[in-house]
Amino acid sequence: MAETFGFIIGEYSIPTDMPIIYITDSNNARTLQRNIKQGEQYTHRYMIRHIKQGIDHAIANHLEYLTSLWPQEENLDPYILELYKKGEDICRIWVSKQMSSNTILPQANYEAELEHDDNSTQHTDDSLGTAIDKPPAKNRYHFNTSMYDCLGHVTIVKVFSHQLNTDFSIRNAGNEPAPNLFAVSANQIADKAATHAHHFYTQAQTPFEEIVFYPPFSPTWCFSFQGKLINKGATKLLQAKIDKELLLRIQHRPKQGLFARLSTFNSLNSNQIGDDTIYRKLIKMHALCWMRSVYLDSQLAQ
Amino acid sequence: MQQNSELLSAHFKRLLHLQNEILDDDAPNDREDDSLDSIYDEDRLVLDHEILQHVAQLEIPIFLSIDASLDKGEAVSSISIVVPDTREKTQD
Repeated sequence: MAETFGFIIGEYSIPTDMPIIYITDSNNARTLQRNIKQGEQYTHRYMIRHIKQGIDHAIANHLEYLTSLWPQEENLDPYILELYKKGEDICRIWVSKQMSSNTILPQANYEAELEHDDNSTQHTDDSLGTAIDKPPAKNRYHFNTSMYDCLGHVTIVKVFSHQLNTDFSIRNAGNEPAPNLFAVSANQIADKAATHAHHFYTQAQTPFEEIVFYPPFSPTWCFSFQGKLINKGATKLLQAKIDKELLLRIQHRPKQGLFARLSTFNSLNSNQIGDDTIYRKLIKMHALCWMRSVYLDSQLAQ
Repeated sequence: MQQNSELLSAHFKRLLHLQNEILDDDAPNDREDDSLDSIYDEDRLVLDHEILQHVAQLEIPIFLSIDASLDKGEAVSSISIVVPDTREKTQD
């Protein structure tokens, strides 16, 4: 998730219409950015429950807002478009060089390794290079077409981390950095910067007052009900409003509304009443017509 | 809240955006005639406009490397602007 914040910083730092190639080892951040860019394909419910699931909503909303500001391709300057095409060509060349130099692994293996490779929650210190949860004998030295996304003027390249040592020498002798030494070194530079930032922070012993918390960020649009944001889509909101409306209407009926008007004074709740009884259904408002149930159901008369 | 978020976004933009114009404070006299190749040779900070000019000279997209880590509840994100060194030979 922290890599996602890197995308946000990048969006602010670089002029909006300039083509960017992000190099990252986080498949989670790459997937989030790709899905947000293609957000019109998904429902609000799917975005909340799946795409933004596990990501801090303020960060995901922030990235979604910045992505919505990306210039449309038809509005880009021809020179910028040419640069962007060059970026795509660069990725294709990287892949073709890998394909020609390496033995090609089955696609399923690539995908399985991509799932495992996100190290956003791991400390990047070398001492943790042999973490227990890492799959054994993983080949990090490869690059293929599934490892980059072309999203308008932004391209995201995923590289496997820890191909190099901290002194930029190849970690596993005999392997060739993939896609190339430049991309892998770029990842190593960012990795070292993050590691050093941790050391600086630890040694500085920053007072609590100076800690800056990440501010909340509003979603682009949302449903709210009685002043509260809902996270379960439009259907739940509609049903809640219909139930509320029904209750208010029933309360206005002189006789039939008596039960609804007194319901707030009723100390019983549905858990205190046996299952499959009409009274429980009345309390939970599941009876099709509660007045008819009162007259027709023998349980209540007893 | 939406308005607050947009104002926050504008604030971040002002703080982080690479400035293309040369600011007086950023351009000491002894650097005015330097070529951009000096950013490789000299151990000095690279200015905003030098980054953008250098990328424009190379005529390729700008490369940003991102990494982050989480340790003892403290998250760190780092981004680095990197360019291939194309001075001696053309790289991929």
